[in-house]
Amino acid sequence: MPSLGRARPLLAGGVVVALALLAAVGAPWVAPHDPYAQDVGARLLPPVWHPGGSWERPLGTDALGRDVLSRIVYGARVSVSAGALAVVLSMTLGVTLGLLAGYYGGTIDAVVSNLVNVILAFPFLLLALAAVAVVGPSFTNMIVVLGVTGWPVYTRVVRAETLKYRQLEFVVAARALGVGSGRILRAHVLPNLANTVIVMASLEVARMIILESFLSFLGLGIQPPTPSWGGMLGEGRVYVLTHWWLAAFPGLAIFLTTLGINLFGDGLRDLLDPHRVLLGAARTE
Amino acid sequence: MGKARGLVLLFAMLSLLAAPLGAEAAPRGRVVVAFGSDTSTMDPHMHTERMGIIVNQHIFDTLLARDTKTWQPVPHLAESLRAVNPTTWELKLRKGVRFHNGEPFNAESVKFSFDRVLNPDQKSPIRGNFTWIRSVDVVDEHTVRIVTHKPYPLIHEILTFGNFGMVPPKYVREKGDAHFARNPVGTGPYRFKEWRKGEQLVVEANEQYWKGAPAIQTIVFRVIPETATQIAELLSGGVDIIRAVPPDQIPAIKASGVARVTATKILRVVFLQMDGDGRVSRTPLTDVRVRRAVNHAVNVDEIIEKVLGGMAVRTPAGNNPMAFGFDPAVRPLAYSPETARKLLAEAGYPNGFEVTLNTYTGSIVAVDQVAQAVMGYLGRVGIRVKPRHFADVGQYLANFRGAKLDGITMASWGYNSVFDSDAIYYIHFHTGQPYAYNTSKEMDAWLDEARATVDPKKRLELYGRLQRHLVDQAYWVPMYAQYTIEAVSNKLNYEASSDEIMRVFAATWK
Amino acid sequence: MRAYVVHRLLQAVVVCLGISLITFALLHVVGNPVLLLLPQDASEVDVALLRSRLGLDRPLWIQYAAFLGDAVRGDFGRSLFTQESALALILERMPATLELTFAGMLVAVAVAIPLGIVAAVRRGSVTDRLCTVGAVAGQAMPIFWLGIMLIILFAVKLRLLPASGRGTLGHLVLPALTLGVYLAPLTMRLTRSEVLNVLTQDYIRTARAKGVREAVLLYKHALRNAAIPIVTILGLQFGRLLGGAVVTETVFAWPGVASLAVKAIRTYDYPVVQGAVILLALLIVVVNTLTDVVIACLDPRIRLEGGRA
Repeated sequence: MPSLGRARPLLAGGVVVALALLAAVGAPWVAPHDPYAQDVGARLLPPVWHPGGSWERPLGTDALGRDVLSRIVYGARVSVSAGALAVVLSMTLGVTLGLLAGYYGGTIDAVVSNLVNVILAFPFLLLALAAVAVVGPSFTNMIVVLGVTGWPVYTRVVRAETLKYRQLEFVVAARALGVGSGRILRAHVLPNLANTVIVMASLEVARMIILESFLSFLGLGIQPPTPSWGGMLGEGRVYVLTHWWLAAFPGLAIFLTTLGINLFGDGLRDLLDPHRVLLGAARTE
Repeated sequence: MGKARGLVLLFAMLSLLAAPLGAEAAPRGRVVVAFGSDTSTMDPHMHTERMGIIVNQHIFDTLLARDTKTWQPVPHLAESLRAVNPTTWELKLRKGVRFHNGEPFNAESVKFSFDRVLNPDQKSPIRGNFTWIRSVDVVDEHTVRIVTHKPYPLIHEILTFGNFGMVPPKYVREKGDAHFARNPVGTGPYRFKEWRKGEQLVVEANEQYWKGAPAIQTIVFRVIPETATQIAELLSGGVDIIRAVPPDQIPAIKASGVARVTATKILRVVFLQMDGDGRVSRTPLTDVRVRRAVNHAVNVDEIIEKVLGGMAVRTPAGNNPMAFGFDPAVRPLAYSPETARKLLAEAGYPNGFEVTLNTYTGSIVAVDQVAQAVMGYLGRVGIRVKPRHFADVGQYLANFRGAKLDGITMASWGYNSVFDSDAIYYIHFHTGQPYAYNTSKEMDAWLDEARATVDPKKRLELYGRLQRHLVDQAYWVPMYAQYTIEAVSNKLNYEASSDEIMRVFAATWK
Repeated sequence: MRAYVVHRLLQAVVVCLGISLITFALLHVVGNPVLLLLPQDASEVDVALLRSRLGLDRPLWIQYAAFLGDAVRGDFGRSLFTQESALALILERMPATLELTFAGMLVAVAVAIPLGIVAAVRRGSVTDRLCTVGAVAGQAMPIFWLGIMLIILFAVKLRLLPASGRGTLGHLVLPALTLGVYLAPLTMRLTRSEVLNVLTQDYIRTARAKGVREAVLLYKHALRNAAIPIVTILGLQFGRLLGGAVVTETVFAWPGVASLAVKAIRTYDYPVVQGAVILLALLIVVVNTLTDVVIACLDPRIRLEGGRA
């Protein structure tokens, strides 16, 4: 049983993740202003504790006089859901392929394994960039690109685990009893994999949020005026010397959220200890 | 017009003959200039890129150049330009000029340069600017005649064209285009030294330059894609001149004590083009009332004052006040959201409508902010904008040309550096032109006539009519003419130029 | 052993084929470069002519076969914009990218491996906790942000190092540091977990019970055995490293292949994109294959298993 000490990062991470989710879901109630409402008469206002700042705009305003706090709150919605959706897509793809390859072996395994090697040999970011450039930058396209390029992490781990389970007594027994493959996979193999996959997925959400910010930095992320953390950080980077809050707050949001997710995921792993999770993550990006 | 210009040129020529370019002392020191992107080729005839033009201007000379106070064409490699008859012009060339490789500059070099651009097989992207030429004939070693198809009023402008450097015939023929593209040889104030693609291009002072040696020994043009990095380099002394400074960064640079800002009006204008012809698809914008509503909805003055820090000039009809043919009497439609809403209701859109706003990265200062400000203004009168952004100018232009930009487009136009109304209106409003999304028979007639007459009064009147018509029909939301905002190290005497050619060759040490 | 190497090389060839196919499909099924290449007044005839000159009017599979045939001979075509050989453009930039990735790897190794070992040896200590928190924080840092911060601190404020560009050793410091920070957290954590793994093995426990000194235990037994998985990890990280180079090169105006590829992607210069992506992928494949072969030489168990998935 984990002691309270070991569960502390899990708790801390959990709180941060819960806050981010709350902001994402409750954005219209949490945000003090409309994130799109611009007031060019009140542009580049500093945060409240600076001379010239006010409680009306606690984190200041951006170059179009939009409220930075409100955009960060709405940005949670965009960035967190982009990260989560990309993970759902890559996880579904990756787990399915991994199960098939591990369970059936043979040709399927050969094809899937080679495909994994192909995708893993790509400089991930370049592949994603090229794909976004071709299909055009948009929220959906970005999720699809991140999802379609991010699946091999799961496949590697799931395939290896499935291979192992296939040899185990209860699976061998089930097969001997004539239980269908689909049912074995669903009823016996998948539940045993769930822990590993959940931990991996939670860590992957953090990675996807960071990747979204990379794409935004290179101009191929979620397009303005939609607020995304990566996009805001990207827009604010020119202002580092003059109006630091434009980049610092979305940067902090990314940092804290991914930190929270990582702590949460690590905590989960410490509880469940699948050693392979880290190994799987080594070969991506 | 042509004859008047010819006279002006003659006088200007006399006053310029003795003017040395830089200091009398030998060139010294090294200046680093940062660009956001690299150029694809050093062959001046084979690209239309701004950075390439700037570097080319250091290595090559054009036949005419611009006076840096009036921005009017003045003699350069050509000592004079005289109209023999309405379709024949005679160029007298400067004597004793040599290319960097020792090849003499003469009538043969001029003819070769013209013929090279005009040769369809050469596939020069600037060929379209020279198709008014019927032939170029060598009269003697230093005299050339240009015969035009029709009287052509813009010849002085075109001969200053930044891409149209004079190239050495023997060198180009012997070494081939591919070699020339990477190892340029011209007559200019600097000779090419080294080019590491994507990294930097180095030129060295040409001490034998016919206008006298420049003041700076070495100029390095460095590629730094990130604006934040460029500013950091400037402030830390790694770079001496940067361009495209965001207006909001001006105070930081001024306060640094290391560098200062030099900004000036340029030709490039920004405007919202509407698909009034329904060239791509029928939208509410084909109704003139809707187009007027869009005009009334956008507060251009506020964008200029707040977003651009006052660094722009309002254009009433899209035309730049520096361009010949600008009509100062024309007034833009006033900002009035109420009028906009009323017009929309009249046109049958009391609840507004949805429309695409196309934008692109490149050329437009603070483009994201201006675009988002426009979206905000339109949203306030009920026009819901679907943004469509092009990260690449090439893609954007291809879509523009290919009649694929529906709705509203936040466009800009640099006049191809020609200070004349023809350079903006013909390509945007003449039937059949690739950029024209608003056309009519009467505009065609005015544009054609203005293009074929050399009488300045007549041309002024025609362009005046066109500009009033444009505002009345609200084909565009005319916005403003930009400034080029550059920042330069306090060690240098250097000013930004209105034709966006960075004249580092004319800079001196403090 | 020979069988294993042959198997691994065959696998590498299959991977290369797959990479070329995906890259080609991505760039050719969508997108139309022809319009970008022609002057403003081009007619439909010009468009058709250029299409056929570029060979874009042939069936896709024939185009792919031709592309593959040329690529095998090192011919990736010519840049659509500069008309230069795409391969030459890429190779010209390759040393810069190799220099940066190598330096970044060095920084990561120099930081991550000692810290990983210390954290593992003193498991549960304050040092271990700090290392772990530091690693998690490092993973949560968008590196372009870190890069800009480093430039402001070391170039603008302290004026100790050049802000960008390539040339002297000083130019290399900040980009290498940035890339190192990108790579170090995962490397550190993997090292820690591998060393921990070895330290809890039976033979170590036995040795410890026999009274072998801790230092000898660590250096002679534990590290030697942890070295193999750590080398594996470093090899595997190479792909990630090139991904990080995309961003690092842009921030620091580092004239490498990754920034060339980004620019080519933006301008739809597909011969250059194809060439750059394939060559970089090839580099990853070579590094991974080499790593595997080297490790197989060290560790007989692997070659008996026939390689990893």
